[in-house]
Amino acid sequence: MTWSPAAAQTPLAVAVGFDGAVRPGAPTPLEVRTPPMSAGGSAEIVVETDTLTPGTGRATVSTVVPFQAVAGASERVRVPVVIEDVRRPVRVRLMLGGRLVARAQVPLDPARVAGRLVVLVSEVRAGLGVLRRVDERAVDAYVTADALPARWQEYTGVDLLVLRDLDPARLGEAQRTALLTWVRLGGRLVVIARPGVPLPDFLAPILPAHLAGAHALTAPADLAARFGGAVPAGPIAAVALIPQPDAELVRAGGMAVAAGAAEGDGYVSVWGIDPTVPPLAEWDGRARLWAAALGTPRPVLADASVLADRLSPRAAVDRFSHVAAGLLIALYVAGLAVLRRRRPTPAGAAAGAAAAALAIAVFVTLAVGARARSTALTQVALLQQAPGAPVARALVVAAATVPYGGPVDVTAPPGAAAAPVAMTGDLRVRWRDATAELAGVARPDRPWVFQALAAVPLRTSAAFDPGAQTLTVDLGPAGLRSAAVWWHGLVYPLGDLPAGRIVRPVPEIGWRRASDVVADDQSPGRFFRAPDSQAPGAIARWPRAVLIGEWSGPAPRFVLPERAGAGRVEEDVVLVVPIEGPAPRGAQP
Amino acid sequence: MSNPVLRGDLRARAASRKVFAIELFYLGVLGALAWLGMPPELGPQTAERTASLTTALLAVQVILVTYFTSACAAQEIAVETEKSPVDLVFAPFAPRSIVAGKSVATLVTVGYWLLLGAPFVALSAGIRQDSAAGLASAGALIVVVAWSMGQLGLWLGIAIESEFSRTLAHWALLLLVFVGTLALPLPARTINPVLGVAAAQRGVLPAAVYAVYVAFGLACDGAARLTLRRYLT
Repeated sequence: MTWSPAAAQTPLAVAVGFDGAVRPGAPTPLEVRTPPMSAGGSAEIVVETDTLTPGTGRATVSTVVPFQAVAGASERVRVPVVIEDVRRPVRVRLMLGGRLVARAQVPLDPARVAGRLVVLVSEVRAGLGVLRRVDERAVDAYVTADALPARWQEYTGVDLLVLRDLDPARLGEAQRTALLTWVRLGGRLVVIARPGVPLPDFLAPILPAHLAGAHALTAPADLAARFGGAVPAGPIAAVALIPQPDAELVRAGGMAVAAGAAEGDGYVSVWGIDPTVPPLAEWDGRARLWAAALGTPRPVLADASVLADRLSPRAAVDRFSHVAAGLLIALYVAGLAVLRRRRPTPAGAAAGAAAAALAIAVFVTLAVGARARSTALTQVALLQQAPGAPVARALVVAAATVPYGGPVDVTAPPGAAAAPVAMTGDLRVRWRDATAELAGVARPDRPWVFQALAAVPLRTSAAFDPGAQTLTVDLGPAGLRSAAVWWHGLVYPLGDLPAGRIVRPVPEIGWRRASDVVADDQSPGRFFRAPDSQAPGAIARWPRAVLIGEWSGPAPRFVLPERAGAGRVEEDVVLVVPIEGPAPRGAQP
Repeated sequence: MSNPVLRGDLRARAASRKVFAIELFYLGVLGALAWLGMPPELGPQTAERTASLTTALLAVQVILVTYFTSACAAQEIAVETEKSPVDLVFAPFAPRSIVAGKSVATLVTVGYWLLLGAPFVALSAGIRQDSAAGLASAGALIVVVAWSMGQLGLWLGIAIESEFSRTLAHWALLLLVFVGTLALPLPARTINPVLGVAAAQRGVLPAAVYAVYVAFGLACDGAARLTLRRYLT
């Protein structure tokens, strides 16, 4: 690296997280605004974050986003990063043509490290102070529309997003799609309706209500009865809502002022009252309103580290290359011996040198092939269908084994946020368009494990009939092997299910204990064990019945580079489909 | 190639059965080591081990090439038809031509032997993706160590007439360089050729180590020239 003497003085504006608030271990937005570029050409932003590793103590993750610089123009570059060690500053470098142009160090404020993160899109930086009463780990962040992420994964550290002053015209298409995707895959969203301001059109498919008209409430007793505290004397500006049929409602003064409904795995609320501004900003009961909006933290069906533990990566030793190397070594030595014996002259020695040069090329080719054939990628993709939505959350965990150790390159699925599960050394994540390429150094004695989080278009469904005796499944274009219904620590095996729509009986008898199923290393249930245990994990406490099996359809995956294409790739794809309708009754093992 | 001493030595070495045997032995050792060390080590402490197969091959190279180079130069291994410097000074050739010719012949021999062993290093380095820059640094160190010790052997061959005393001195000095230097404190210990090759492969060998060996080789050159001049006076 070339250090420019002026680099330290050149300004580089860096914004980390949401209004400086970050959630350790979750993909975090980071935006860099460069100074006017001195020249055009290939440039890149390099962001370095530290992480702790068991073997080596500390390792660095470098995230690189290349861009084409234009002379005289300032650039705005978004870099997706995962911050693990919040005690160390984030280091940012701007490189132009391989030369360091500017750099910055951004220390993280310990007070902005969130246990739970609530983001308010508002022109007024106030109104969320009450969150500390709701959850002492909660951190509030005030942002404008520009700061909203263009990748849905960067919302995964957010527990609640509140839209108050959102001008949809300031949101790009990628930002809109990211917001919708995040909500459908488990995000919680509150939209505060303000008198005279329409709700954003792009949110219409997920909103549980639309607006009627503006009203003024005077001391609504039903709000105080539901959330406690004395409601300040009015008038309170409110917008009446016309809710969707399945929405949960809060009424005040005889009209619906809040409506909420599930959307996919997420939850969306529309509030016709605004507790961020007076007079409701002084209302004690708003804490319970916020608590209801924030909800309780969702359990994780299968953690990346648990999936990694269930993988069985095997180091493949390439015997063909070993035999071939033995033959070639013997051929080389014998050939040189014959040559030098028959021609004991300087010309013979020169011919020996030429033979050595040729042998170098042959042996390098053999070595590269042997390394590629010994490299193995073992991975599992866990697809969680969002109920009623055309999207599934995909968590892919992969383990690369390189028995010789050394540098490894792996490409993450397109559009996925990729990060290491266990660090064994420094890691470089280079973004090419929407695809992350991971480069690191693998140790010979342990696999290199990393994860990717992606959204995949998928529409499957499962539903019990009103008597919970018959299950109707629609798997779309692909089948499900070793399928089973999981419900509160019990599993009903269905066998292999074909593609398309099918109906299967689910009687009260024939259920197995989930603890037996997760202990079976051949079953897809093995990925649902609790950490460091043979017992079932969160699946045994999951609030609804789910259908689980090995999915034969397409799924995101990590790939080895083409030049090492001979490497072995093994993949499991597990699909989880939530089951609508009543819970199974009388299930018995 | 205008130097007649260099021409004569290269011709003699190309035709020598002893050099042929040396090369076969050297390639046999390297080939066996490369083949036996090729399967990956999958033990639990593999990553903690600092020496890889490539480092081991480079270490064997620096030991064998240095020994055979200096032994040939010191006439401990007499290469058929190769004239000794003392014989050449009465030929008559100028001491400067003799030393220059012998010195370059040693350098060419070292380079040739390294090239012959390079396919095995390439096999090991390619399979483990070792750094090319590290290999080049290690190769350069082997060249300067073997050449400088060759110059030492040249001087010993001129200065000590008795074959036994010369062999004794040669081995004592080789042991001093390869074993004695291990007793030095760090970082001076990296002057040890084996440790130096490992450090060079990792890219952490100070340039001073190369300079020390080059200076030592040049000093032996100068000493050899002075000693040869004494034969003429």
